[in-house]
Amino acid sequence: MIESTNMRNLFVAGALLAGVLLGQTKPAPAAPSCDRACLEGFVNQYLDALVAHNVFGLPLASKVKFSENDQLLELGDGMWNVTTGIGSYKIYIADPQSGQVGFLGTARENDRPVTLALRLKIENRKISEIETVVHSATPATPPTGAAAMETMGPDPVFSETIPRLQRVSRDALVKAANSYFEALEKSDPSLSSFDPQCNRLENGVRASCGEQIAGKTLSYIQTVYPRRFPVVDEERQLVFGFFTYQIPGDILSVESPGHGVHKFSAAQTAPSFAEVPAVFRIKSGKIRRMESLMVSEPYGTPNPFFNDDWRRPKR
Amino acid sequence: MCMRLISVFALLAGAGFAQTPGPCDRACLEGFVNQYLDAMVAHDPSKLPVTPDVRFSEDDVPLKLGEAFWKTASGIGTYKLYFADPQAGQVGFMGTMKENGRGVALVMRLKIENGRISEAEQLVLRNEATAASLEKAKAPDPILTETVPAADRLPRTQLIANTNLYFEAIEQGNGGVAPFHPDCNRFENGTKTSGALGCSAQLDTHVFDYIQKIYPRRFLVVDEERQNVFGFFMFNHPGDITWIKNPDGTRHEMGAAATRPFSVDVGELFHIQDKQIRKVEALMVALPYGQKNPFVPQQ
Repeated sequence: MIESTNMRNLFVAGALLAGVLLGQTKPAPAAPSCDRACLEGFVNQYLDALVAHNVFGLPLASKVKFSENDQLLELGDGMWNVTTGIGSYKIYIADPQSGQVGFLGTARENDRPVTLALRLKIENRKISEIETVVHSATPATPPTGAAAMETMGPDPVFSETIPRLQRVSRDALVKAANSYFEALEKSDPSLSSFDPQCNRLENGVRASCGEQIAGKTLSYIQTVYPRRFPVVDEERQLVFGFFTYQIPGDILSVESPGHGVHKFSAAQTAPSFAEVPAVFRIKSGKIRRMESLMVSEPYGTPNPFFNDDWRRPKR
Repeated sequence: MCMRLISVFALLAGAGFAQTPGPCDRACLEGFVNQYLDAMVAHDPSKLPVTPDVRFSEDDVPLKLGEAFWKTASGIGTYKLYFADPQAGQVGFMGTMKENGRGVALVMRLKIENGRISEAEQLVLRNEATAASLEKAKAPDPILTETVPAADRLPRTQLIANTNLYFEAIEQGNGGVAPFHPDCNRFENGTKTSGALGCSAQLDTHVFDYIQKIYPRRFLVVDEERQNVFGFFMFNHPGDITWIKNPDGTRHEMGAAATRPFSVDVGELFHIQDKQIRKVEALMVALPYGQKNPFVPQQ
């Protein structure tokens, strides 16, 4: 009884998120639609301009909102000053219905490899929103971050067109992606649905889907909120969004089933937020692959594209 | 009737006192700091005397009292440096604390209005080496805590003006812009960083050219008796100056840390002696590039 109520609540939350965050309540502006090629073209044009350190020539709306690592900046500042190249790792997520496109890939910052997550909102064939997260990995052996991702190359599951009959709806895609965070928050993998082959890549490091959650070793992440799912790629069954991991730092250890007491690290027991852009590949309604960046920020840093309080209302 | 009159009188007297309390002197201001630190370690802001609209920030993010370090503070350390400004009703503190048992450094200021805390601003430097280094020093440099004879003091405005030139000198890569005392030294995060060249000549080498803009510059606590000035200063590093030419013509590479975009909020204390900058002590926290300070409306 309790379970079914929870499931219903989850479904309602997912549907609500999908409705609100995908902007379905507003009619699309009357303009020629921007399809996948058009949306990806905007990303490429943006990346080229970034390397050229030149915003002029970009098709921009009269008001453009630009953020980097959750700070609102003037377009041309931040990464625009230091990007010296685009890398070989590229995942595109296109959503013609919402007019939004996502990108997860590598770049060069003063010739050093970095990872970039990017979201563009296109209105009337002009860019109106630019949200970026840049992650620089500490040099390590074997390499992590952008260097590791370029060695591996993007997983082909992100670029397959899925036959229509095998697709699930937009709402189901968002619900599946959202279920990962439900499972993460409650350290209960049964709250999510993982494909048997599910795996993750976080800052270029391979990770498991349900196992870590079951081991409770991620339970220092107490809340994942806000959760924004702005880009849904129905053809490829992808969901791309930005998620805030709240780490108050006041849980010092956890009883890990079968492994005894697991002590959290210094970084996990100090207050911080992590901004997490992530792309999910959903297969038959289950999570097949998730790739994310995780960039640490001061505790309480608000996301400039989320207008409400980051303190989640009780539910 | 008589009792009622007395009660009313007492009430009025009480209300009047609350509105115009006596000035909060150094001991009073430092008392607020100690009370604040105790409350943080107790994880309980409820007994602190605060105004109804008290504002609190940690690492430049506006929060509610009770959040962030308030949940993880586990002790007060041994290094304590106070600076008090009875005229402005502000008090600052640099010191060591424990967070879940680990050493951290804290730099903060409180604004006191009518006997209540109206603003609390803090940076927490989560670095055990910094905390250890500060505690190893046992006590702050005595020149930061000595009362300067009245005849040798500069007025408030001049103290601020001289301090401000420090930031001009950094931005311009020219030590001659600021009035540096020949014995000037600078400690950052518990380590002496003014090097063999000293405060002034070090700037002439342009090694700090990656610090392109120091803004906002907020001079918040002016301790006239001790001739100290304290404030929070945002160092902005766009990351696009990757090298400079040394005086001998060779290249000085800025290194990876200085060639990516980031900002640093610096809680910094200056001691002015003989009208010159004699000592700089700073605690600094790296922040995302472009981080705004919540106490500055327009940036």
